Amino acid sequence: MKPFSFHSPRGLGEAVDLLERHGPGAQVIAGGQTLLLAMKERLARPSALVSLAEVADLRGWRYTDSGALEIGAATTYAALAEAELTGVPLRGWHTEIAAVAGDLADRPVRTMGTIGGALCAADPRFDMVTLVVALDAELDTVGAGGGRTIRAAEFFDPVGGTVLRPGEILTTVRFRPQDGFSGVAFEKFRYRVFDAALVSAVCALRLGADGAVADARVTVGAVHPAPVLATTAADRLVGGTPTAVDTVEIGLVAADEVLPAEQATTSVRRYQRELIGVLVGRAIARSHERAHTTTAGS
Amino acid sequence: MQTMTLTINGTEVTAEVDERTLLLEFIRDVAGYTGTHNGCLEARCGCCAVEVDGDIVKSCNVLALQVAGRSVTTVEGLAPQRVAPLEHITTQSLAGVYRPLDALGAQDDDLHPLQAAFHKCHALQCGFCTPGMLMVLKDYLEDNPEPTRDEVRKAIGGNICRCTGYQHIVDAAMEAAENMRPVAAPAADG
Amino acid sequence: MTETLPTAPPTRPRAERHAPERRETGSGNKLVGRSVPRTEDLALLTGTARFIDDIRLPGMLYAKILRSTTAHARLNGVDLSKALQQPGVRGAICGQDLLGKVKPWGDMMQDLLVGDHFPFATDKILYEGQEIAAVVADSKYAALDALEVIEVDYDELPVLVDPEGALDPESPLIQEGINYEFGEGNIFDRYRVRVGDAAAAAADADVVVRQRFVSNRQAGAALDPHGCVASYDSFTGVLTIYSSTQSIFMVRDVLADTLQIPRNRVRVVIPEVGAGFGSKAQMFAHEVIASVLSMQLGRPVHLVLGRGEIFRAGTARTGQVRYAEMYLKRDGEITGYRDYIVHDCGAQSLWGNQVVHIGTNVGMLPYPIPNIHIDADVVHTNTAPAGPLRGFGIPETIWAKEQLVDMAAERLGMDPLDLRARNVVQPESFPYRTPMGQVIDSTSIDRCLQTCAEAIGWREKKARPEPNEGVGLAVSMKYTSCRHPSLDTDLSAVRVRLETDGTVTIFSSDVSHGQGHATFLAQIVSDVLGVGFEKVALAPPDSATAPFGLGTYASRAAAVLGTACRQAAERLREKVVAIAAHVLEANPEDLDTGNDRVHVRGLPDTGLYLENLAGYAAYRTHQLPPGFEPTLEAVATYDTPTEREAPDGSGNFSVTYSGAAHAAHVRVDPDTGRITVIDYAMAHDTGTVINPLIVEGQHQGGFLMGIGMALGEDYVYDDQGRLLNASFKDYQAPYATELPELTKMFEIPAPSVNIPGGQKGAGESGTGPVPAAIGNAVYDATGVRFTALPITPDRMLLALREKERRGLDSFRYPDDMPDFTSPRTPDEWPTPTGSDEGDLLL
Ligand SMILES: Cc1cc2nc3c(=O)[nH]c(=O)nc-3n(C[C@H](O)[C@H](O)[C@H](O)COP(=O)(O)OP(=O)(O)OC[C@H]3O[C@@H](n4cnc5c(N)ncnc54)[C@H](O)[C@@H]3O)c2cc1C
Ligand code: FES
Ligand code: FES
Repeated sequence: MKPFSFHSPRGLGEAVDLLERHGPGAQVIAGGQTLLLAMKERLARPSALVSLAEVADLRGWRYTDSGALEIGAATTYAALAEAELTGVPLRGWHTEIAAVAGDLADRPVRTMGTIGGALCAADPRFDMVTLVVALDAELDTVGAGGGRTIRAAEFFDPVGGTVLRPGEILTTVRFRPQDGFSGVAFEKFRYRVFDAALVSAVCALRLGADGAVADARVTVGAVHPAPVLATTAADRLVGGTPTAVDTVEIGLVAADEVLPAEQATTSVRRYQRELIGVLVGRAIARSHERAHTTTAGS
Repeated sequence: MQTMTLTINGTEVTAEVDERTLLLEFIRDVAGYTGTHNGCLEARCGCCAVEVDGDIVKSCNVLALQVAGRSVTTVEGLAPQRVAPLEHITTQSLAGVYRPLDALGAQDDDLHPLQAAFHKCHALQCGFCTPGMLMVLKDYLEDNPEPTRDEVRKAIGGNICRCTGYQHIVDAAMEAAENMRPVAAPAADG
Repeated sequence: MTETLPTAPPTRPRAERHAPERRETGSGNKLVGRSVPRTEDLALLTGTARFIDDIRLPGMLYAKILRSTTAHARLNGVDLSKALQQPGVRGAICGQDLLGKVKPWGDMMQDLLVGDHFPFATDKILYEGQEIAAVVADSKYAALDALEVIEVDYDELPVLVDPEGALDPESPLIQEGINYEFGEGNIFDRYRVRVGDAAAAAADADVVVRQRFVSNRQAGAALDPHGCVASYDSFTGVLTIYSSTQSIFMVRDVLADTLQIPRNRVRVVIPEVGAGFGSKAQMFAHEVIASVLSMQLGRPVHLVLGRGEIFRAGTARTGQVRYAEMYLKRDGEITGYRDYIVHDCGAQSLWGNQVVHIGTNVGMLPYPIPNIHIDADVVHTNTAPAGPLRGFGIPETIWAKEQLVDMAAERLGMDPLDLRARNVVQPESFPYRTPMGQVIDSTSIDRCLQTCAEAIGWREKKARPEPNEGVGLAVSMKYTSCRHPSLDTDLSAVRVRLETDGTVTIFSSDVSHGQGHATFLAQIVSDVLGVGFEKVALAPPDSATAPFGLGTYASRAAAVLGTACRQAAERLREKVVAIAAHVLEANPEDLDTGNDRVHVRGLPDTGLYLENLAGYAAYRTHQLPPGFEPTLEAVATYDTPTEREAPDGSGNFSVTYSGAAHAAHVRVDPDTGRITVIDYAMAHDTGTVINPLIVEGQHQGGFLMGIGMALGEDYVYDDQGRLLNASFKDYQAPYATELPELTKMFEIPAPSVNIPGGQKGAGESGTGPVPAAIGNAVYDATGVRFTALPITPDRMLLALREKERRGLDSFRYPDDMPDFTSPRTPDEWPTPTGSDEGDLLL
């Protein structure tokens, strides 16, 4: 690590000021779980760190009047994973967000790691990165020049990284209200239990009044520098209820879309291509199951 | 340099530190508690796990300043530190009697149930991973008093042990879980 | 008084398995054979144990090493001037500074004329991670900051990663100017076995199976990092070095030789050692560097390596390519084995060539194969130094040989269990000498085999296979001690002292690093001397006080060290009995020990306390028998009755052999290729077990190394020799979730005859059979025969897809993959580079 100064602002405004004052070498530290690894390797060399630990506004989540779920960027995985134990229980498919938060990294890392930190680190293998794109979340940021709202798919640069400007802070991650989707399923493959995903896949469905799929989003992560929407595969889902055979086939469509055979030249790539098919298929099947149990139950 | 305070195992420690100081380094080098180990410095082995305000973290991946003012429990805080009871200094009193914990100068109750179970189940060989294992399991079992063996395995999914094959560690955790659960109070007022 | 923790519940009864019953008085009640909980635990459990990184000495400085980022280069110069000007920096050195001042090492273990190891690269860089320079400073941060401003001038050279590439005389020459037995080159040693007539066995065979096998590099990855603190006293000239090592005297002698200072001026002190598995069984460059810096500055120097440094520059398991064949008769008798091994020792290696000798010799067990023909070329590549790792070449041999057995069973239409049962050594009388020369003093390997197979439901699983599931077996026998071809010794020594209060101190230089020496040695001493277990303590290992010994490796602790300890305790017992006989005016034959006393046989509550006898020997010497030499110490050294390797490669290297038979039950996910070991049974013959719980733990730990080797651990290099997974993030060390429940553990003791207490080594027998058992089970489940390790999900799935595409029933990975470029069939196999003429020097 190289020397740096350390600041613990109490409020968001102060944090923005500090970042501006310390210029381009200044960086936000949320949980530090990714940033410190890079600093110890001397790959990241900030001259000032602005900690979000004491900025209370950035922690926790709430439902807005319209039913959207807003999660503070500095909310830890541990808090999300234990959502059912805390004040505001998550409902319906929003629980999948908590489930994902509870099944990544290990317990100690989840204590510190934050959803916003994962998004700003923008490592494509991080689960939240794939999940926010898959669920079409909106991300609110604030910087010296004011605030803006960015759709998740636009937040990540296709060649890697984010569109955040220097000194800009991610404040909130906003998910659609309950009726935005009827069923959501996240799938991933990793070697050891808490290794980063080799491939992750999400299927998010909305059923129409007739019980058939009205809208579908299929997203594949960890394969390219940013998550990729498999739109052809998603389109294939609309208007029906896929059979087991269909899910396998649509999985293969997604694989062709995201990582065509001619691009899968190394063995890792070929393996990822196989996994895309399998995981998309599994996500489709599970999201359907959920959509139907939810609608049946409501 | 910045001045900061941590409460470690109940004792306040204030020091002027280089901003780069990791929580692990504060604990080991500033406060002198070397039971928290550095096995990788890359947040993968779990040897450095400690509790901060009751939540488990990997202290090699947290800056001391990130948790300034808070309260840290390390392995040294699990059981009260002891000096060997006096009777162990005379040898004839123990002649011919073998009581394993006596041999160590300890009573069962001196150890945290996890420590006692690790000892009994031979859940440590070289013992380097042990402090981290103990801390992670303490944190976990306090939240989940009745885990399955698979859940215990997952709870230590961020801790590497190269010696034991984990079997005895899981055995010890299951046994400790039982001993950590509050014993059901007798139905006194029934 | 101590407090009771609020969470501490009332004490509950102990589980049966762990309950060491109260020991009744009387000498018939022995501790050997009981799961005595370990005396070393308390310090480790409460955080008071001190490992190397916990050592703090007054005035201590911190050193850090600059390591090469390239794998092969001409080193033109290292400029330390800027580093020396950095704040807090006290000194900096590089290779040129030490040329002519410290002696290269490596000659002792390898039988070289000169050593090929040096603290830093001088004119050539041989592997990524090699030491280039070091800085010593007031703090770790200051040292690390200074490393960044060191300028290194080098020119890259072509890199050699593939061990088979080293056979090509045109391959880039790695070690220059080293005079090997066969001259200069990347082949630095050869090995040969010629037992019986393998050619005739091949000609007579009904079935011949042949296959090329590859085994992986694996890290010890002991969690406690390699490191040391060196402290030189410039007035007395004594260098004290605290080091995390498995072998005190190996470090002392090699370090003293390297620094050219007298051996009694080097004191090696060992703190707690957080495991080694073979990876700490030698002296390393950092120990020289810290010593030199301390000698220069007259201050203690702390030098503990980081995880990435250990992966790159610690030692890793040797890699092997094997062209193996097995010859059998129709009835299943194994009549011959032939192999050509390309043995990869990385860029430099102290023990690497020994691994192929011993691993191959002992790896032939448990079959008494009459005709054996083996050649090996031992090579250098621009990769991490190779060294011993749990199993010492045996898992590699078993990986090839035990898969050949299954391939043969398939060809013969025999059950692999029956084929093994037909061949495992089960002589009519012991000791039995195998054609390879091993002297089997006892074994229960046949029963181990049947037991593990039964435990896993072998016959039922074979009769009614489940889709995507399979079962596999493998058997091995592991040496218990070892006389290395180039290290003609196999000794351990113990000194015991009866202290003046009747307690006993044991001194030994064989470092305990997880094996529980303090406990099992105390069990032995307690039994022999009749002294209370709690009164026996093991002194911390220190070369200044401990008797000379080789160290803790090769599973030798229980058998070799344990025997030395038993003999020392027996000598001590004779002395106390002699004093007691004199004082009591009794006949020594009428006396017995027990209950902390020497008493008249049959009257355990009478007699004299050891405490009093020790008092006579120290403080009231006129009470001693005439001519009795005062004080109560006894020392014993045990060198095993083992043999050197014969010119034909045969020989009995180990005092006894531990048997291991494993059965694996695996499931393969046909969609993702994930391999899950759902059930596993191990049956072992560890002879007379001193402490069953410790031995069980050793087997389970051995299994961990085996499953790591089988399913994930590997050194992944790019073609520039850069290690791509030098961190626990990428290196696939198994976590708890990757292991099955290890409850099917069976001990079938066949007590050793050679070892007075009957015990055998436990440390490594759990590792040997694992990769092969899992490999065989994977084949049973999928029809894919893995010939290269590790068996990862990606390889598994791609193999399944390719097999499907080609419509094959059985398939070899990687041999049948389209992009495989190495020899596929025996007619393409290479021949050993050596000729059959002349003797090989050993
Ligand atoms: C051992 C280990 C295992 C892991 N396993 C997994 C896994 O299985 N799956 C997975 O998805 N992830 C995994 N991770 C990664 C984990 O998701 C991230 O490390 C973590 O969540 C990042 O959050 P943080 O708060 O710690 O971010 P930090 O490290 O504090 O920050 C990361 C980056 O984001 C910036 N930043 C942080 N917050 C903001 C903000 N609000 N506004 C602007 N910039 C910001 C920082 O400046 C920094 O550049 C693992 C990490 C570790 C250490
Ligand atoms: S030292 Fe912190 S996880 Fe390894
Ligand atoms: S006991 Fe040695 S690493 Fe766990």
